[in-house]
Amino acid sequence: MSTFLDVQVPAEWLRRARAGEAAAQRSIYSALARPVYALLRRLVLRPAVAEELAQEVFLEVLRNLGAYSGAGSFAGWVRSIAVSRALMHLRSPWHGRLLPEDAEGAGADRAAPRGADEECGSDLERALNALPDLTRSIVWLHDVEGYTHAEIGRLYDRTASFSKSQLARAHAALRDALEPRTGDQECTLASRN
Amino acid sequence: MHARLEELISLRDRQPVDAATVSHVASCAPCAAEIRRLTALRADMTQLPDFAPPDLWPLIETRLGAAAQSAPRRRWMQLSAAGSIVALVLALAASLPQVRVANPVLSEGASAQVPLETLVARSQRLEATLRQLPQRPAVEVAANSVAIDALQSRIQRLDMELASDAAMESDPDRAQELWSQRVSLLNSLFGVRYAEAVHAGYRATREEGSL
Repeated sequence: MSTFLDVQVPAEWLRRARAGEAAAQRSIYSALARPVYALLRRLVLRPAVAEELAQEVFLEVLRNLGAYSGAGSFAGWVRSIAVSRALMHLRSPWHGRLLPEDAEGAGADRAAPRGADEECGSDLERALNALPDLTRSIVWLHDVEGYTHAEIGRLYDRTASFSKSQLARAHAALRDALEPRTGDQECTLASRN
Repeated sequence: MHARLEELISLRDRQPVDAATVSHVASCAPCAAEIRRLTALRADMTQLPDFAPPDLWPLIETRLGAAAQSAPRRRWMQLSAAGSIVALVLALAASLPQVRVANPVLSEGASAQVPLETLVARSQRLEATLRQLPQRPAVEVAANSVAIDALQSRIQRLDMELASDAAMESDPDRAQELWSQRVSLLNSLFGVRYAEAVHAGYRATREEGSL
């Protein structure tokens, strides 16, 4: 569950961190490390990539504290940086070619078979991990993080309609993965035709 | 005809949909059930366990400190890097007398075989390609910055020498050698800048339907 909005960063920490005080910078990191890392794991899956991106997110945040205007929550500002970083990675031409160097983590996330040990997560977790990057990131940003279709459209340089159609595609895939259709299933939705 | 999944999601999210769809769903048990399923799925997603982060602070603190120190140290590091290259070349020259000291970048054969006009044209194309790369990222990696600054400094020194009429006119071989070095340095600069841009999310093209 997204916990960004539960995080309150005192203005005093920000002031001291802007002045370069390491203890305040660390306090900010400690308060936000978990939601940042968890979000990145959901978006990019691979643990090593999420760790690298998390470092970059905090470096960007801590070096650019002056850019935070104070409008909106600080945690929300950090979340927007984390999302931006994750999407930049997913857009990268190198993405997809990094698998060999992190095959263990990726394998655990991407191809966890049913009945695997507890660390592989629930059926829902496996179904989410099996989605393509694009649809997985959109369903997570919309349904869990609460981004609007307009916001998602802007993030992907597309339209709100694009976000809506991708979200529907993601949910169709999740439904197929979680509730395999049977012959007498009742609702035959037009989107499946 | 049942409502489309996109419309059912909009209804779940209390987004506007057309009146005919609202009317249909109000009297369609399967569509209503689908909305309930979508609602439950969203709730299940928000309840998925978090991932515990590893302790990244020591790495972040180190990188923060390195970047803070890199600016004042950059000039020193450039000089240090240049000094290392000179020392390496001199060491090679001492141990292998047949290696020319004057050109630390290109092999002798490579510079001798390429006409001057070709080298100049290559140099211009590389500069044009470099201009097409995006601006450097706001958050720089210290190692990239040092490498880029060192390469640019060496190119500037070459340009100063190439701008000298004496060097160009009195010694055509030297001119060709300098242009060869310039091409090689631009190639290296492009490699670093491109890798940095790709790491920051640069993409030359975007395929439809993909990120």
